[in-house]
Amino acid sequence: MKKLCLILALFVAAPVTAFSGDIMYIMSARAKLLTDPAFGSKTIENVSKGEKILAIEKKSNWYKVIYNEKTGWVSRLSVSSHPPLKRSRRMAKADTKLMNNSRRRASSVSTTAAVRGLTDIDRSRVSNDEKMDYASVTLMENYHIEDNEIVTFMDDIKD
Amino acid sequence: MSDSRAECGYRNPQTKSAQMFFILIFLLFVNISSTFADQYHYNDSLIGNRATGLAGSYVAISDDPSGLYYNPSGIVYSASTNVTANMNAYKYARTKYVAALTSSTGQKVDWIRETSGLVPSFFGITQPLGPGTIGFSYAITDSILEDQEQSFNDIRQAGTTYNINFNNQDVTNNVGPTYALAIGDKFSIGLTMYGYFRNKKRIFNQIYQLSADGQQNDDNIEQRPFYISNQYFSLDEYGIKPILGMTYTPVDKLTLGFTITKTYLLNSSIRQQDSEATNICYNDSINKQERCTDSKPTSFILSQQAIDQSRQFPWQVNAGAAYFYSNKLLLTGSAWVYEAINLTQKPLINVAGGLEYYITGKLAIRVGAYTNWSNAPELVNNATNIYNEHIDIVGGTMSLTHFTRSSSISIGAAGTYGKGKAQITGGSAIQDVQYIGLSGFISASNSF
Amino acid sequence: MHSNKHSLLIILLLLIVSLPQAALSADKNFRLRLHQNNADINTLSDIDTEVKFGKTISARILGQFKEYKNEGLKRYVNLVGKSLAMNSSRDEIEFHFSVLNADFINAYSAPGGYVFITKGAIKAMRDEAELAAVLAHEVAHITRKHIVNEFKIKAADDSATAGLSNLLGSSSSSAKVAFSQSVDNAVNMLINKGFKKEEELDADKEALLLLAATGYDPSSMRRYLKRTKHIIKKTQSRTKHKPTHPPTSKRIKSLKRIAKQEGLNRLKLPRANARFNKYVRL
Repeated sequence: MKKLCLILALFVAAPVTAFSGDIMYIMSARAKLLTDPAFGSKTIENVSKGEKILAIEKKSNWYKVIYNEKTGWVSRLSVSSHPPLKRSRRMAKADTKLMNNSRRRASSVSTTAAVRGLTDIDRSRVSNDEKMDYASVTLMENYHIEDNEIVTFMDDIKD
Repeated sequence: MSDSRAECGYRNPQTKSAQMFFILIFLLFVNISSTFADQYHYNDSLIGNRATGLAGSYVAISDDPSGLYYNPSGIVYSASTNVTANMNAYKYARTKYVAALTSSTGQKVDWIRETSGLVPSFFGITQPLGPGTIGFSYAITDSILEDQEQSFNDIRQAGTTYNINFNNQDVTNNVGPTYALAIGDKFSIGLTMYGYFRNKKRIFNQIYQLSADGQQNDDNIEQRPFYISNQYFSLDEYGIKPILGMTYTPVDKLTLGFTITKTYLLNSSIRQQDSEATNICYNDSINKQERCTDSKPTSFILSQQAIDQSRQFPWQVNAGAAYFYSNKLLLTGSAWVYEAINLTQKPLINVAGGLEYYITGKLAIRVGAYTNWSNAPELVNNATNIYNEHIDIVGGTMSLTHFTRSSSISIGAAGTYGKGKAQITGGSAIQDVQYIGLSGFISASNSF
Repeated sequence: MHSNKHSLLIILLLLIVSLPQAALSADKNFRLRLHQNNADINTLSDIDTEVKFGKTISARILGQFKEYKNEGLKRYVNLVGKSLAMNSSRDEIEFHFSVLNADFINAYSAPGGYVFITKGAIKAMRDEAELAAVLAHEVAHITRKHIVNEFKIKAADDSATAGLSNLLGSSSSSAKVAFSQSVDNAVNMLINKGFKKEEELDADKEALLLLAATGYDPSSMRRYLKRTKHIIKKTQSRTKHKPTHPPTSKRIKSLKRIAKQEGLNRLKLPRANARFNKYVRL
């Protein structure tokens, strides 16, 4: 009986130790380790994209994590359980063939249903098949801004 | 060269007639035992690749198309929205009735029945519909394909040949839709409405021939004693089989499943034709005279059997638990309880347990074990048992699955072993029975 | 007997202790097996597929509405938008922003990182935080993968296993396609999918968090919706289709509630009024 209890206890205790932490990765370019689970609390450290952290607790949209031997909170928006992918720059190519090597659900749906807007969209406005402007899309894609310029801009947010 | 031969055929008025009387009852009477083949076991079928690997202990999991059969309420927890799955199995089973026949030297001879064949045993598909999930599946829950020809010499008497041609096909199909709904975070309910279709056909021919009393003279060939029997039996049943299922998640990582089901027979039709011919005379001890049957075959035909005389199906309850220890390890156990019907004296309980482990993110292994007890009472010695077979079976399963983004392939095997008793030669002799079953399957699943 | 009782007590205690801990990583996804966790990973080819899909939608939008040609405004909108993107969890996508030459109020997003905002929408804004709010809502649709999940946009699985699986008949039968198509049609006919409203509320919530993370005043979203409420309502009544967005008043209420829950009201984050007026001359 004692042996059985011991085995059972180990069996139950295992989950306790197993879930004392999950490895997660920083996904956003700018992530901050904060003292409290709230925006506006003091920054302990800036954490770069791709860094591994150990998440030990979850509270609403925040994770309590251990990074670099420091304990703090990071926003859910900044992390993921999978490591980040390398960003790829889209080549400027007018690719009119939709998904030649990909697959989606076999159902009769038009891509207009896939548009998301701020408010309700007048479908008739976006359902005209004849007017497709890939050239403008290419121009839109080719418009780049360097990361350091974005950071400078962001750091200058003030009233 | 006695001229005391009776008109009906050969007979030796002295010692042989007494022996001949007993000859007939040492032939195989497969009539009773396989009319409702495998009414003696409830846990014959393993459906779907994951459930088979887990020995059918699936009621608390059921979150993929196999769930349509095991617990319809589980399909709401499917990770992907649209899934299809199928399974093809090669099944082999061998039943050995030990010492069923006796040779002329008194040696006992076994009779073996074998069934084998490739059967597509399951197909299922699920997808969301409205607030819940809809599914459709077919499951072949019973599939027997016996096709054998055997020949025995010197059964009971030297110089005899006994030939058997035995063909038995028995397939049970369940086909139908399912709908399931999640109610809150912890509870779900589902219903599968199967149409039940069973088709059985058995043809059993026996020829038993006595050689002419040691004579090799072919002049007497038409005078040789013989027994011929030809049996044709066909059964068609259809009905409905609703399965009501529920899943409850009391705490994180632990799920409890529960189903209740019963097959309702709507129609059952039997066609039967038995023919028999023999010229063996026997001693009618009741009327105290020697009788010879007419050399013309006798036959009778029976069609359309009333439903209440046909097979009874019990209420069946399945309850189980699954513990999702981690995303690599899953443990499960379950039990079935079957209502006692005329066959049994008390409710029957079967159990099963299984384990699933992910060796890598692309490879998983499953093992399981289960029971498949006989629902017939134990055979009684020195009596004619109405239910003339009691074989208790246990089984073990194993499967290996390879995963990619949206599909998976499994191969696996199930092995069963049974031991019991049977009474298949008429009279009161009881035979030991050994049963071995082996099936291998390959199965695929796709999500889109 | 005593030792048995003690052992049982220890087990019970451990059980109680372990259960809340177990809640951390699994949440309601404890059923997911290891291969399904991996299936969630976005591979590069998945992103390629998503971008191709979004490109087509963008081509349609830009075909319908021309881009508003103003370099200064284009740069400004991209700077605000890309600042928000930097704080999101989908940094592997490059976000692109474009101002449409249209006077009505609206903004659009397509999978793969394409975001459009109308000239009319910007005209109704008072500060940079409000611009950030609208862009954040659109970015949220993309980072939350609403469309990718709805349409199951994934790269094709051309592994050997998938091929063999098709051969074995698990997915190639036309019955399967017919089945799913008829179900889809039935759904479209009979049931109005309400999930889109949930998506909008989800995007609103995500936008608030993104605003705060980037450093903008989160109350800007509410302010903007309040101010443009009557204009948006007019557009809604004109359209023939059933509204996919919840009523503005409901959105504002929801935003208020989330802000309170997340403690965003306590924050005194800037609106960048001055910079907005400098770059936006409409």
